[in-house]
Amino acid sequence: MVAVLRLGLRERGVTEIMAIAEHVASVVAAAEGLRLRPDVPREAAGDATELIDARREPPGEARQTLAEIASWSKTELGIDHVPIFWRALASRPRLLASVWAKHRLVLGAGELDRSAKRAIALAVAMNKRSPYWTGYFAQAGRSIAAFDDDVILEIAAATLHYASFNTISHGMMLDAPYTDIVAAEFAPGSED
Amino acid sequence: MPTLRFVRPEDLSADDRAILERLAKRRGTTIEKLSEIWLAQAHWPALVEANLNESAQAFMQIARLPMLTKQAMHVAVSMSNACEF
Repeated sequence: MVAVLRLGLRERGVTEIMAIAEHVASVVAAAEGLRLRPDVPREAAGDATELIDARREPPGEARQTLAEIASWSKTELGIDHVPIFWRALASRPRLLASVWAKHRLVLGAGELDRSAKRAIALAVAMNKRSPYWTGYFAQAGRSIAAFDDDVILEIAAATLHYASFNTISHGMMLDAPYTDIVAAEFAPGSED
Repeated sequence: MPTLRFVRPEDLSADDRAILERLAKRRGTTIEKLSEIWLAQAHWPALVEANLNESAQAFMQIARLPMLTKQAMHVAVSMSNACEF
């Protein structure tokens, strides 16, 4: 964590990273739990695996959120359909609205720009081994020209490295080198 | 506290100690001051060398992504793995 502070991030930026980590972990759990087939950028093909019928008519209360998602998906993902993850939540309109609002908040620009956030989200989805969300976030990066094959490979390589080092530190039960961190103490130009 | 006590350089063979000294030099430090993530592997210096080489290629070399993005990815993945280090 200290490394990102030395590169200029503050407490808010670290909290943004934490938010992406927990948000992606949570949507991965739901998508893989519901056995959703990847449908971004192309609609899913082959036999259905989903535990629920996500194609049924959504309740009227969900239509406004789904319309917003459809519009966003067109501009931000470059697709003409609502991803099945959002359609799957639609039978609980208030759940859909709350998860969608959080998704927009967490992945919107802040201390970290949206390109960085999409890279972080893809790395977490890769690490969580989610076919659904790796496809989704890879397309999210490609659609704003932040990713191409080379960048996606760079993210996979970095994730390989993180998984390796996390396993070493877990396996050897290494203590955190820093605790009770104050960002200003590690800001660029500080004398830590 | 780590599960395994870190190696003492004087307990290593000359060849193994030479590997660690070379790696510490690459990191701009001494064996004693290497990060614990390296010391935790140092009972097998060849593994440290393999991981340092892999790390350089997979992460440290700045390519297309800004280093801030890569470090932020590292924090996020580590958080999602509940990694305290």
